[in-house]
Formats: sequence, C-alpha cells, structure tokens
Amino acid sequence: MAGKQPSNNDGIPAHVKTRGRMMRRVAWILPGGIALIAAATAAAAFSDRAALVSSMRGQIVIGAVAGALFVYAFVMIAKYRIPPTELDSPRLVHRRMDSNQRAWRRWILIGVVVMFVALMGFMRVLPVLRAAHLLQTLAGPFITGMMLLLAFILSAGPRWSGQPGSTALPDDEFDRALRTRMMRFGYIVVMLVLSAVFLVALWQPALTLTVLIWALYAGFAVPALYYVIADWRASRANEG
Amino acid sequence: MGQRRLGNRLKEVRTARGLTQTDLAVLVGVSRKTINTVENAVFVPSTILALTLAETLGTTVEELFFVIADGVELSARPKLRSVRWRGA
Repeated sequence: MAGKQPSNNDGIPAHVKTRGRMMRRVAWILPGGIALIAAATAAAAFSDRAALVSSMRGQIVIGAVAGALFVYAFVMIAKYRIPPTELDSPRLVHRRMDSNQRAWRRWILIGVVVMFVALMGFMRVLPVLRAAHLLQTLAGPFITGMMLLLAFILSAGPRWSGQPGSTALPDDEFDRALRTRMMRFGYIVVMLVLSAVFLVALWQPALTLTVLIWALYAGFAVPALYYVIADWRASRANEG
Repeated sequence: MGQRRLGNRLKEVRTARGLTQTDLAVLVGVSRKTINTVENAVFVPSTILALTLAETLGTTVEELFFVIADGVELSARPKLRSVRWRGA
C-alpha cells in the first residue's frame, strides 16, 4: 500500500477504564431498579382501583414484571452506551461501533412497536383509568415519560455515553447527517399533527385527547421509521 | 448551470490498496456505512473526511473526488480566472 498507514488509535478514542465502565453500568442500571420498585409499589397501592387482576399479590407480580422490563431496558442501554475498555483493540471497537448502530436501530424499531401496542391497550382502558382518577396521576405521566424518553434516545442517536470527545460514534458523519435529515422531517411531521390536533379540537373537542395521544406517538414514530428505513437502506452491504 | 454532483474513485483506490470497507472505516475512524454511502455517492463527505480519506489512502482529494456536471466528469482543478485588482 502506498503512503504511510496512520495509527489506528488516532481516530478511535472511545476507551474507558475497566473500573469506570463497571461504575457506569451500575449507574445506568440504578434507574431501572428504582422503576422496578416504583412499579411494584404502585401496583400494590392501586390494587383496589382499576386492578388488572383481583388479588393484591397478582398486582404486585404484574408490577414486578413491568419493573423487570425497565431493568432489562436499562441493562441493554448500559451494554450499548458504554464505550469499550482500553483493553479492546481498535478493530474490536469498530466492530462494536457497527453492531452498536445495528442494535440501536433494532431498539428504536422495538420502541415504535411496543409503544403502538401500549397505546392501543391504553385507549381500551381509558374510561377505566379516567373513572379511577389514574389518568392524571399515573398513566398519563407514564405514557408521556416513555414518549419523551424514546424521543430523546432517537434524537441522541447511537452513541456511547461519556465525557465529550471520548466517544467515537458521534463522529460518524453519515449517521450525523441522517439524524439531521430525520429531525427536519420530524419537525414537519410534528407541525402537521399539531395542526390536525388543533382542527380536531375546534370541530370535535371530545376527540381531542385521543388525537393528541396519537399525535404524540406520530411525532416519535414517523421520524423513527424514517431513520430506520434510511439507515437500513444505507447499510445494505456493498462490501468490496 | 446543469445538475452537478460529486463523483468518486474511492472504491477503485481502496481495492487497489487491498482494503475492505471495514478496514478503511477502522483507519479513518468512521462506520462502514459511511464508507459505503460515500462510495455509492449517496452521501457527500465533509472536507475533513475527504482529506482524511485521501491521506489514509496515500493520495490526494482531487484523485479521489471529482464533479460530474450533466453526466460529464469535470476536472477537480478548475482553471482560476485571473482577477486583476483595480484598487480602491
């Protein structure tokens, strides 16, 4: 090969110390544990109102399962968001970088589907939630929080968390450009759905809440699908 | 002015050096997808990436990239018009 080979380490400074990595994992998993306790406690506290199952024990089990899903989600975030240790070779770092992007794309797609299913269920139990005053206190903030979390993950893109300059993925030009394009597209989508909500509020005020919930979902899901499809098309192998 | 787009010889030069897209991505510090999309003219790289690619492959940016106007490849080194300073 003509020309000198540059040092691989120049372009990939995505390293953290092994001990620091462990601490970061614990830090990421902690919110999952708190969510687990909160979900189980809430399930027990509200077992007499809008109960999914008749017994309190059953409610706690459901709450624990829901909380365990949170723990799992945060474990996965910890796995894919923390940079490799300094012991990893640059090639391994890059393999992880590509697999990180693929995993992120998969997670976004799962988020879109899970949120859709959750909202369908939410719409079905909406009258019950309203009657038990759980819409304002529990279900509403939960759905909003999940939606905001997903929107944040989508806008942050596939990247390792860490100090500024210590991550490799934000420097990936194509990904950055694609996310910029997605944001532009997302802005138009949000403006369209907000306009639709406004018109519905004028003409069919009773439907406003329902339309607003789906508008929130559309504001996340449509740009997410745009990104996932564009990213998948771009990553289709053409390896030579 | 007709439609202009960026063409490149990245694949040609890369394979001549015996590198895969992943190898080049590792050397340059971007994902394989970025190399793939640049090669297929889907994505126009920044000046920094273009310079890094050229340096990594031991060539010049002009050798790697060129402008295509109305389907015709243009030289990347256009002749500069001589501009005469007329003074204030």
